[in-house]
Amino acid sequence: MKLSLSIALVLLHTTVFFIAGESQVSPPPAKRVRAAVSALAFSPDGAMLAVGRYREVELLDPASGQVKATLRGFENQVRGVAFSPDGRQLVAVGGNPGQFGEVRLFDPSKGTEIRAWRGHRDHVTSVAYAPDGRTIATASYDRTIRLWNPATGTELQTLRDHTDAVFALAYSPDGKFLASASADRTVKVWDPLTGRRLSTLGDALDAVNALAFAPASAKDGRILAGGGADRTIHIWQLSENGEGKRLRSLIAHEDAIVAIAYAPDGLSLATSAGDRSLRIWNPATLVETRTLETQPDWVQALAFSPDGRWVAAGRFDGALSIYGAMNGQKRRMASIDKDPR
Amino acid sequence: MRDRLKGLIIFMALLGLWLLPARPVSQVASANVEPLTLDTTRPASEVTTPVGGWSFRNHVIPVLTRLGCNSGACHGALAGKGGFKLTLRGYDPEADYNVMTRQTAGRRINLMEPTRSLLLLKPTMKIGHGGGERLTIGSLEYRVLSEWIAGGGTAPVEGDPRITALEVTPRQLTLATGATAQLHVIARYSDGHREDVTRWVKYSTANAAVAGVDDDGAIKVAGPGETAISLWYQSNVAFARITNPYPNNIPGEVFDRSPRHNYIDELVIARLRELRITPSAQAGDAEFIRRAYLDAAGTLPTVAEVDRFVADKSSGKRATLVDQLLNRSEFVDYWANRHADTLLVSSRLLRENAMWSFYNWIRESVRVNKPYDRMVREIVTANGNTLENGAANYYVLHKETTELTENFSMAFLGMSITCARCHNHPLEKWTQKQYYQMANLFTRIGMKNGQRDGDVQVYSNPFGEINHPRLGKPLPPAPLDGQPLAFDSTVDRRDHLANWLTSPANPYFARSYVNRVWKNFMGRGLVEAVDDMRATNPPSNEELLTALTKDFTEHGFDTRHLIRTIMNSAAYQRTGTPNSTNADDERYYSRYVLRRLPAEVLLDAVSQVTGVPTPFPNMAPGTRALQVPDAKNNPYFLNVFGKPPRLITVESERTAEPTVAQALHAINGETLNQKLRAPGGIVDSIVRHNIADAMALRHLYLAALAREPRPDELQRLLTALRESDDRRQAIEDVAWAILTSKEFMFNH
Repeated sequence: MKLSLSIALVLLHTTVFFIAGESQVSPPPAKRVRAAVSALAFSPDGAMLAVGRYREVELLDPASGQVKATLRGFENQVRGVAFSPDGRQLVAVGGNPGQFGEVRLFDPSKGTEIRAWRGHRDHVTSVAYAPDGRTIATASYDRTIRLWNPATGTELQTLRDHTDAVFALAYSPDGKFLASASADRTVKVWDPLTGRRLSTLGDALDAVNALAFAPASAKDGRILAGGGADRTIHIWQLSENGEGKRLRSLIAHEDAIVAIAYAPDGLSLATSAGDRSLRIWNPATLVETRTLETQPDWVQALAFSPDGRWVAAGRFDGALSIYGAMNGQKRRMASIDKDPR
Repeated sequence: MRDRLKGLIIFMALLGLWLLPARPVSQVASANVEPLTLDTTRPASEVTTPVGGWSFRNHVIPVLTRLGCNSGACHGALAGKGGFKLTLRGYDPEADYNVMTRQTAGRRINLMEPTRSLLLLKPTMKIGHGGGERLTIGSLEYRVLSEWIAGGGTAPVEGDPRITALEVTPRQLTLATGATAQLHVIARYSDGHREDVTRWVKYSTANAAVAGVDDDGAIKVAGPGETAISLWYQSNVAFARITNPYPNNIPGEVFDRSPRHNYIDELVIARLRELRITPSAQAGDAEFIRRAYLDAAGTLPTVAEVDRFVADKSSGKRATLVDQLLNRSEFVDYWANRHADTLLVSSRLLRENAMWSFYNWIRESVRVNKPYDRMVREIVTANGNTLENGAANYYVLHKETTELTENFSMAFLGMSITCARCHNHPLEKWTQKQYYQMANLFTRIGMKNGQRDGDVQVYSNPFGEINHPRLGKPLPPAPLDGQPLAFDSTVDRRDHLANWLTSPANPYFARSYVNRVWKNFMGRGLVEAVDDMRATNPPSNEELLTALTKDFTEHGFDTRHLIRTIMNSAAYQRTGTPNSTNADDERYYSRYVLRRLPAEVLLDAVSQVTGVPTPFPNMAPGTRALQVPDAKNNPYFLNVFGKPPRLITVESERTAEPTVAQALHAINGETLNQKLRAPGGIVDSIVRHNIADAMALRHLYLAALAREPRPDELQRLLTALRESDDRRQAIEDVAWAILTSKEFMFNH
């Protein structure tokens, strides 16, 4: 581990020189900071937690916090990770801001790369696997959503109706709908087969940063939760034809909502925000059921374990914490608790 | 180890100081106080990174401002640019910090590989940037941004040192046309440290015809006169004054011998000597009496008054005339009308009876020469029924807290703070916090309907706050730069405001009023415009404005004392005729500045000369335009000649701009023609009483122009009258010609 870190640092410096290129001034040495956590995903069996960081994805054992493998080869920050529904593939996305997006597909059991490709005209912000495992959807700062065939890496569709950066993506559990959240203050619902836009949910008053579909077990049908710069949780219900109806809203935080996640039973919803709070809600009433400890920095990624017992929270300052979903207690894990700085 | 490090730092700092190049004496003197921790004027490679690294608040934000990133045209626009939205000129560092480091998952800075940050790649055009190339690799600005990121992108904190003063050197410069100079600006911080921030300051010149300034503070003098170079840095302001004397060769005795009636003249002459402008001669008696009547009381002297004054041989007759004018009812009408402009008296928002109540209160205040501080205090603290206490109508006119805050500043402080409602003032020191602290003084004014229609009862509420829109909470109520009041204080918030406002120590209140009164007589405010009393808009004669203000407050805010002092000065009594050195001067009072009569004064003057008053709706016959309290349905003549509609308090509502409509109305409009034709009017009287031509001409000249016709004028007009076969028409034509002449329509 120590060795790999040193190698990473050496690599890092080479790149700095490379990019600074024509400059005569030597680049300032970077303060040793721990790379931000910007994406989290549990494997479907709960045995693995993928952690997106700068130029790498850590695969760790959520029970011990031990890093089992590190997936490398990325150009930049990894901004989205998702396991295929069967758990046999892991997709991780990122890319260079202002330049391009990249998608890398791995076999998580072996820690090997299956396939990688570039796309988009800016970095990818979010990725989602279709429930049937046959499509990968990526959203980008370039305002588009692209659908890919994971078996070949070929682009299937480009969805273009957003007028500003797209920040989040989610498939409905039955795979019939794809929802996207954008800085243009809307959530759009698409038919992922035809690429047709079915509806636009315009209830948010500012950029929408995060989006999550309630799991299939949720009682009142297709439920979608979104949150963003208007500090508000919006809960929508989608009809058979993808029309959205707002069920309820609540100004839930004192600053922009950054991440949102549904518990597997659909009875809890976790949100994190720029106010550095981490809250758990009853999505049916938007009554707050638990406030977790105030975070020292923004929590940029949230994920519930498949058994619903844990909530993982990844922060901008590089820390990763795992909380009991029921009691809100932080799980002590020496391997990931160490001070990042 | 730590001690050795400290020693090293001290050694480096001393070395740096020793290596400093020679500087002007003024700077060496100030440099002795505390060494500079940053000098932006040095080559980027020689600047040492401050101990503790670059501060987001004190270095990164100024760099973004210098580069223009957070300007209104770029990412500082309300909607941002390309999804990247900064606060205008960095007024909210905490928000900018989140946007730059956290928003959109930290897309903009790269803590791991700093030079790959979008924040550096875009403005250096390594990646396409809509704003073009703004930043050069290797520049000080590049170093600040990249080293700040490399240092972990530290956040602004409450404990950051704040600027306590901006010091500009030189503060005052006298230079000739074509000369150049370099300004240096030092920011002094709350922890005692000092930085030379010359490169990051925003500069602007008040008068580019005198001197221009570039982004680095280099001055180039373009022409004679004086200008202020304003500096803005992190919501702190200062200015440097550049003087370029006119290229005139004037012997010192010209200034030595120039008449001095009171302290005004000492200070005006000092300025003229400095700028090498010869003052014009003193005005003649006829010139003076017409001017004094019009300026002080908005009326023309009668023929008899002119005759008597000109014939008077006593030495103190001008001072006596001034005293007489101050006691006339026309004086009260004129100044009541001026106050009614500022206070927006109109039946547009007030019922007729309430409008009258407000006006009568104002007129009575002027009549008894109520001290100005007391008059305004009565408005600010007004309570009770508006039909009984006219002053309370101020709150009926301005119900909304923000509107009240902004009107208050314009009316009583002579400045606009409206910008600060949404963001820190981009030219001034006023911050959004100060704005909402001030606004919170106006949140406890209750109003309910009184007994009668038009009556409103104004009272003080025990509760009420206004939220700062960004912070989402109220701030302790405080006058602009006054002491805050505790939320639970039992002191009436308006009393607190009035105490601050009317204190002789208040730097804005008396000063802005004195400046307005001065402009009424001198044609141009010492600060111009009179409602732009910014710190960065200095007066053309600071010593004079200070002296006038001091005299005014020491005399108990006595408006008549102020007017008397101004009118008795030799500066006021100069002729409007320029000499070879002062034709361009309208700023330093070397001559009387010509101006068109205000709309009401002009209409009243026409009525007075023709002997035919203009009827006003709901007013007694013979009422003069200056006596009409309302501004809702101004007659056409008054609108065309720029009587303000009194919609908002701003000096520019009253216009003196010439328009085609004015010319047409004067030449062929009904107002004048009807008065010339009216039975019982002056033309009718001359014809019916068969007044001799010469006598008729003398009367018309004296009544309209306060002077006798010159022999050549008399000769030509007598001939014309003699040759005419329709005497009435001919007299009408002569009167028309006089009343549409520039000499009549202007005060001079």
